[in-house]
Amino acid sequence: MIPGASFASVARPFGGGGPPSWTNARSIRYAGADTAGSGRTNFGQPAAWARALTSQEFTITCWFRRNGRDGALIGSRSSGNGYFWISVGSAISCTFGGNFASGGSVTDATWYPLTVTVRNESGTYVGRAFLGSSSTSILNTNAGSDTLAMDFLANARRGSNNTDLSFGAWGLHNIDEIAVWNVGFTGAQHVEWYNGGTPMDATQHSQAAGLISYFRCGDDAGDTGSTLNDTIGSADGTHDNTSNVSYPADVP
Amino acid sequence: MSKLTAAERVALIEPEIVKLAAEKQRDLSPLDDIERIDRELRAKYPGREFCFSAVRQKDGSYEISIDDVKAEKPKEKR
Repeated sequence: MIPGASFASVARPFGGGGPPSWTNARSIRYAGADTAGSGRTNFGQPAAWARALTSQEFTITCWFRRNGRDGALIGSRSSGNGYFWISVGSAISCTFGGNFASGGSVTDATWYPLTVTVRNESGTYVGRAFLGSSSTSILNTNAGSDTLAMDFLANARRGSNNTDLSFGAWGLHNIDEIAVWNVGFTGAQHVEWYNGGTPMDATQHSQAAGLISYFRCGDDAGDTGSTLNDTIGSADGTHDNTSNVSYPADVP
Repeated sequence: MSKLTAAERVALIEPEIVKLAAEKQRDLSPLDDIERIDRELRAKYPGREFCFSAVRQKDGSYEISIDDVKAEKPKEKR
């Protein structure tokens, strides 16, 4: 014990000895009826997320649930720029530096773990996505040269510039445990993220040294008002149309 | 969900993608057009799983593949 410090004076917010246990009780739920009015989250263009995808690795992992409508999940894209973007329909669609790939199969009302990554594969930087419990990628294409030029948005995407929105790109998804990494993921590392079907603490993942942003999606004390707190970095998200953004007790 | 067979991919990619590309709406960007082609293909073949990819070329056109079958390139809007 620290000299001079009594047990009672040490902050232990969860009572017992050791660190507080990690819990996941909430996710983000987006709602809405049209492009302009639907809930969304704007992360801006964080410097740490600006990677040269033809020579640097980058990954986003999360859990999501599709709720009856195709639409953007998270990413930075406009009509002319496809830096890094994920959309959910009957399949997963992604852009990697301007190149496009889609694959896999998504059904409504089912939670999925998702890893979308650009990884150095013998000198070629390849974009892949891994879905569910499998270590086999559902899509792949080489990464292109588009750089980060549009805001990262969840549940929306840009249209022709960085102030408008693409008509019809919004969804009705739940999303949880959004983690951003400056390293690539293998299929085995996605299976680690899947964690047998129960979300894991990203800081405990084997790639945690490359974790640059981590959003607990309602489980962090900083997730208040319109702020989605970045618990690792400084890329806090800002919710728009907050009446259509909620943190229900609805998790994988 | 069943996968498209190699023969089905060959049969699909030539007539369908070229046709869809030719019919593209003039106000779409090439990337938006690629997304539309993908969406329409998936709507046309519900319940069939395939990997679609489109790689931008130096001239701004896209080379489309379904698994390992390549198709004509939707051209960059000039």
